[in-house]
Amino acid sequence: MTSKREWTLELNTLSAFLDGELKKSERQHLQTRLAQEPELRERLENLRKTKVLLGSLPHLDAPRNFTLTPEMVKVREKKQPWSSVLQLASAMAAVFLVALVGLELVLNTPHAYRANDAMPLMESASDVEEPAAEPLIIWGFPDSGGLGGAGGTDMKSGVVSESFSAEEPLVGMDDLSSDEAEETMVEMETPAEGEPDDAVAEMETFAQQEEDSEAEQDSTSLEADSDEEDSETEMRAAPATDEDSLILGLNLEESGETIARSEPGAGAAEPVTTARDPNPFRLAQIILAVIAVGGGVALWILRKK
Amino acid sequence: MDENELINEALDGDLTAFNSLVLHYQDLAFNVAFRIMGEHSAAGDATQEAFISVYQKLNQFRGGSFKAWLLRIVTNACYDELRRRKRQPVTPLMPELEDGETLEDPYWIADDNLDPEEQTEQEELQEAIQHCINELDVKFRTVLVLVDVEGMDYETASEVAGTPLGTVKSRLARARERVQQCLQGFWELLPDLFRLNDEDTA
Repeated sequence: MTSKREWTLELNTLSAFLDGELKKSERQHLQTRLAQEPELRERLENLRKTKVLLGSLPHLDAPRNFTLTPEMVKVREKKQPWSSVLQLASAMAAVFLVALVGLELVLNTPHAYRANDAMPLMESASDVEEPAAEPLIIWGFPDSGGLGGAGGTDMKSGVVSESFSAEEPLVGMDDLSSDEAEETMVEMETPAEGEPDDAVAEMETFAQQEEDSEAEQDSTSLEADSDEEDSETEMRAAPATDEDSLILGLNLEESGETIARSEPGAGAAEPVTTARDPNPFRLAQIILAVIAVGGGVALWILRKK
Repeated sequence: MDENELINEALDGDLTAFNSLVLHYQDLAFNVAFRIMGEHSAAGDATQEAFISVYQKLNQFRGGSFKAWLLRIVTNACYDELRRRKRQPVTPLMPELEDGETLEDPYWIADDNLDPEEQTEQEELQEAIQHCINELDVKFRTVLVLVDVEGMDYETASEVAGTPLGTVKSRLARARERVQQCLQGFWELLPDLFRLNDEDTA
């Protein structure tokens, strides 16, 4: 009497033998047994009959065609555009976000460095005198009598020196000090004039003339950098709000002098806040991050559904 | 056209190319579904669902045997349909086609040359065999249908059923034995040649 386990193993072997799925050694062993055991032979024969009966079942033709119609696959086609749009939007937003962060890093690193450098200057200036710092330096036109003498006779009022010290971080001149005033170079665009390049060239010429005539004049050099736009914008805006008859930085009452316009009321701090408050980078980053994450989450939800 | 070309064109959204594949495989798919489900309308539903599913998942086909991949989806559709019908039982009064045809449909008649009595006996035998198949657990049933009814080898059956080769082997053996035992209840329907020895089935 064979055990249930042996019976099952024997059954598996007989079944595999029928299908020719036994290894050679197993097949030979079974054939030897089959030759000796009639009961095993009969069992194999019954399995064979069952297999033949099952194989005799007719092969049915499909009762109809199962071809698909566009309506059947509509669901898939409908889902695809949403999925594609979300995928694209999410990916694009992620790419732009990375690019924007990189751009901000590139732009902010030197800016932060300069701002830090400027701090001691600003502090020293405020130690010496009361702020009354003005954010703008607007030079007069050549026919008004002089240009580039930033200190000028107005030095007595301390306006110019205040202007420099307080203004430096705003116009990107923080790497300058008043000791470097000998190197005079004025690069400035006058909005009222025609071509900016012409204006700059003119200003450089007049600055040189001023140097020749007034050696003791303090001067400064303005370097065009990424912050130049801000300072230029302020400079352009200044004449319009001028209440001291300063037109384009030219004080008509003091012809022959380089005129520096100072507007303490306008405040040195104002340009700082206007430059930093509405941070377009941050806003764009937030929007892009929302699109990227939102798109991803929406896609995930859609696919789950 | 080559099967791979049809698949590629279907992947590009060519429904006509996909339908060519459907026409090529629909008989096989329906047969497998019918033998697993044991019911005509259920098999039709499962087959249709399977082809829709195949179209939707076509981009997941990673090469190899398309037939095996398709039949795996068919068997899964059968399992789903069986589960669904278990929750909401449907008891048809008689085999009926989707379009309203009944048993008179030609495919129920295996051999037109048989006289009516023989034809009836043959149909009864086929029903008896199908009944015994239906008595099996669905996993055993699938392997039995794939190997003994559809004539697949163990490897293909393993691929379709998604089970290891050893499991296919043991399930098939047990399924055959159970069908053999079951058929003894219909011994009067069996041809003399196929009448089994009761001693062996005990």
